[in-house]
Amino acid sequence: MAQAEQKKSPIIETVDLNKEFHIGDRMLPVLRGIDLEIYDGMFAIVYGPSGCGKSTLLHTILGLEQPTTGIVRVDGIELFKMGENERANFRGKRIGMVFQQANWIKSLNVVDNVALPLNIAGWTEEKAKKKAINVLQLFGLKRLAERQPGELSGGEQQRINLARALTTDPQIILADEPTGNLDKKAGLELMTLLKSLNEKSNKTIVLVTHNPEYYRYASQLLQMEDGQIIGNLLRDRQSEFKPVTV
Amino acid sequence: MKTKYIIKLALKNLEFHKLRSLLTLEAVAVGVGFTVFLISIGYGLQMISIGKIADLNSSRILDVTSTKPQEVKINDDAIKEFKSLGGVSQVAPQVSIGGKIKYKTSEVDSVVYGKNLDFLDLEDMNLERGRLYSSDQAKEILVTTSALKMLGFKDYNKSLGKTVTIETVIPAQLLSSKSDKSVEKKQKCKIVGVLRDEKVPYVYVSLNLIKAQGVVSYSGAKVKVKESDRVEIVRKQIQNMDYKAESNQQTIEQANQIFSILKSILLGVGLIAIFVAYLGMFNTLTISLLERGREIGIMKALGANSKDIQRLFLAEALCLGLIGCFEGLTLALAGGGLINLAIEIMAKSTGNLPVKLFYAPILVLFISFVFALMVSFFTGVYPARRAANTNPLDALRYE
Repeated sequence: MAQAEQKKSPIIETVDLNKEFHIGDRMLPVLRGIDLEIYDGMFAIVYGPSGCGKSTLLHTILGLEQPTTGIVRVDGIELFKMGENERANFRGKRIGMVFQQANWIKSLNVVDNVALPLNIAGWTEEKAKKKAINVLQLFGLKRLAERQPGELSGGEQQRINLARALTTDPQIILADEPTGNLDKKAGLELMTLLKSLNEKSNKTIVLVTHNPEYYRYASQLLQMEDGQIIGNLLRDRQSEFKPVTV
Repeated sequence: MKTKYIIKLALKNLEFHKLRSLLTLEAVAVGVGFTVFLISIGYGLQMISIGKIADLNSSRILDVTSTKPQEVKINDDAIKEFKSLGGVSQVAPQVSIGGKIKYKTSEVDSVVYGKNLDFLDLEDMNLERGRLYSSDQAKEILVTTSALKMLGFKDYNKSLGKTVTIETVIPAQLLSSKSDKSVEKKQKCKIVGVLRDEKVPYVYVSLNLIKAQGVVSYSGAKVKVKESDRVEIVRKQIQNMDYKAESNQQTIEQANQIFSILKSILLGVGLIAIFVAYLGMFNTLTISLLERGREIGIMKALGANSKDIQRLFLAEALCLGLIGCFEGLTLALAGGGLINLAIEIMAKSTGNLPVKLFYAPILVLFISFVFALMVSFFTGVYPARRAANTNPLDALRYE
């Protein structure tokens, strides 16, 4: 499978990606020359020690973090050649983002929060709500539709968070330590949900995690250290990981 | 994002912080309401005062007198001339001469006015009891309350129908003869009406009765002009004929000027209240911006652009302003209505004419409304811009 997909162009691609943060007078390199290819339908897990640049890499792919130099292509489109508004639009349609914290709009109930990305994209409220209810139903969460999201358990909140990321039917889901605040059971439930989205709906998933237990869900394992990718393993569905040779 | 959705979201956000939003929009309501209330009181006072000076009719009436009574006389020829001026609808002459009123043994020095019914029609007078004379030929008079008091009438009603003797001393300049002697005349007349004037004793007799005593020139005349914008032209024309012509338009203008100043002061006081209210609103919006950083961040991460965020915060400012302003105007109108009602009830119980102390022209309401919305908008601009410029990753970065 990996062999077959490499003939197509990758859905996510970075070329010599560098990012430096300015802290006072000092320059802190966070990403150092990252070349990355993730193909459609992959479940990529990025792991590595704290501060190695995992989240920054994810935010750059999301189009929210402007790289210092280098290119980010999503779906073949160079993200940072677009204007800010255009990029926001693109992000809203193509990428679903799940953060460690759900960050609810507190004044909205569950279904309205799930419908939010559609409303941002300019859908009519009626259609957006209908779609949001459908997605919640798919996740078995419809009974929580009218609740306030802040009242729910961490596991429920993260599943709704994932539902929110999926309402716009994005091909790509980026998840930044989505299980970070969950207990073991809820964490595994969320990972199973992500895995089934990857396998049944063929969504491309890029997930940042600390937890080695989850590596088994991945079809691509990216190890980061000090702003660089030092390991890139691929495997077919249940086979062993093999190193990527470029 | 659709505007409709932005407004809905703005309202939901305001509703979520009920107490804070309520306090903010109450402040706006009080500020706007207070200002409109004050200005409306200013308008009310102006209307009452100007109304006292003149109703619409009397501002179109010129009082004509002679500048040199010896040479330039107001006689029937002059009256004809006045009538021929363009835009004049009515001219009524009058005579005022010195005299006495005698009843039984008492007598009182008094001014005797010769005025026909057409003159009374142009005059603002306070007929307290009785009626006007039945015709310009009737030997009937109207007497002021003060004259009646001096004649010994305690109950004005009892004076009605009584016959008194009017003595007049007609000055030579009003008579046709060339002699410079004044002439004394006597006439018995019936009191048919009482005029309210507690200070000056005088009587109204029909001009025809005075003319029958040989009077050919008049002390003055009232000239009524059809349209108010012709008043000044007619006034100048009459002045060119060497008469003095006055209307109360000037007085009204002066009064209006004073009231403009008063209203400006009231407006100033109100604006301070509005300013304080909007400071509060600015504060509310800024706090809301600071605590909703994560919400702004997640919206941007989910595809919202900076314009969307800016519009959301502006919408919240405008909603606060709009609701506050509506409430303020309602409060002002309700308060004003209550005051007018209270005055009306008091006036009725004391037998006075009710006045409207509170008068809010539609234009004032409209301008206040537009102004409040504009200020709300400008109050929202800075917080909205800050919200729009929020870096979503900074806002979302977890501790």
